[in-house]
Amino acid sequence: MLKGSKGSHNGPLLSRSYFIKARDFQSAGKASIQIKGLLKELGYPQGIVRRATICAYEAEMNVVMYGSDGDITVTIYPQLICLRIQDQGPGIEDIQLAMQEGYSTAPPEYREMGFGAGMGLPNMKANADMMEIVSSPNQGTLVHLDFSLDATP
Amino acid sequence: MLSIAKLSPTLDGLMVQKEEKVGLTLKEVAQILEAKVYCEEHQLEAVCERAAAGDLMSDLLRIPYDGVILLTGLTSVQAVRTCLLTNMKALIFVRGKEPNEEILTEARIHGLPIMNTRLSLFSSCGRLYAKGIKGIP
Repeated sequence: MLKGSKGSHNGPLLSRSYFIKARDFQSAGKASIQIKGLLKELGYPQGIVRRATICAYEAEMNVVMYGSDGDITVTIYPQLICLRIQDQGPGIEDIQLAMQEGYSTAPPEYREMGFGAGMGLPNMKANADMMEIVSSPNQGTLVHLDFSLDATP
Repeated sequence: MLSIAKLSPTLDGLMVQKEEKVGLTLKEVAQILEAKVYCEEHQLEAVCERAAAGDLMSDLLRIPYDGVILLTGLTSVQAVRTCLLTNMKALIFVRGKEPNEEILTEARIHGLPIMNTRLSLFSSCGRLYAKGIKGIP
């Protein structure tokens, strides 16, 4: 894995950021597909690639739907894949409520596109080994997700 | 088509080998659904065992299996991306919904077979289930 990397033993081996444009539904998901390609190229097991890309996609859709432009950064450590998603959107008023399955503030047109069912954040929690959300009204949102190579696939 | 040889006991105690069908090829799926195939025809010999149906992508992202066929009425490029990100084997639009050029371009780039059937979601699932395609438990 990560052959030829020049990173130090415990530091990040690689980090890449992808821009996410708010309300650009045509492009939504492209960053996640690129992240999936990168992780596959680096030789990660299918299970961890799947978990990370599902989270990346849900997070990317959230930025497109609710944020104002943002970005997603994938950072590779020897035993860890980290995703960091941030936007400058309206933020989350009640994070605990937002984590409940089925809770959604999405307008009907987002649901017609197959999203906004209140499953995004719970899906991320189910797939990540660690999830942290930092957000408050009008302060944007930062989501940090870790995927450990030591965890079960 | 794949088949698995299984040893089954007969009445007189002898073990006989029985052939048991597992899954269907995408070609068989297309025939059963009377579906039109739009792209990636060369992949139709691939075998699939499970299908999922729905229009809510977040629900579909929860499926813990690779190689599933997705049946949906959602003709959005997000349906293609959901398939790609979860390693689905084919995307079938129901109720005669036609994929647009954006969907087909994305599917061709990443090698995802796309079909459509005039059948409803319920009838499509029923036909495939009757032919041995499993759902998601």
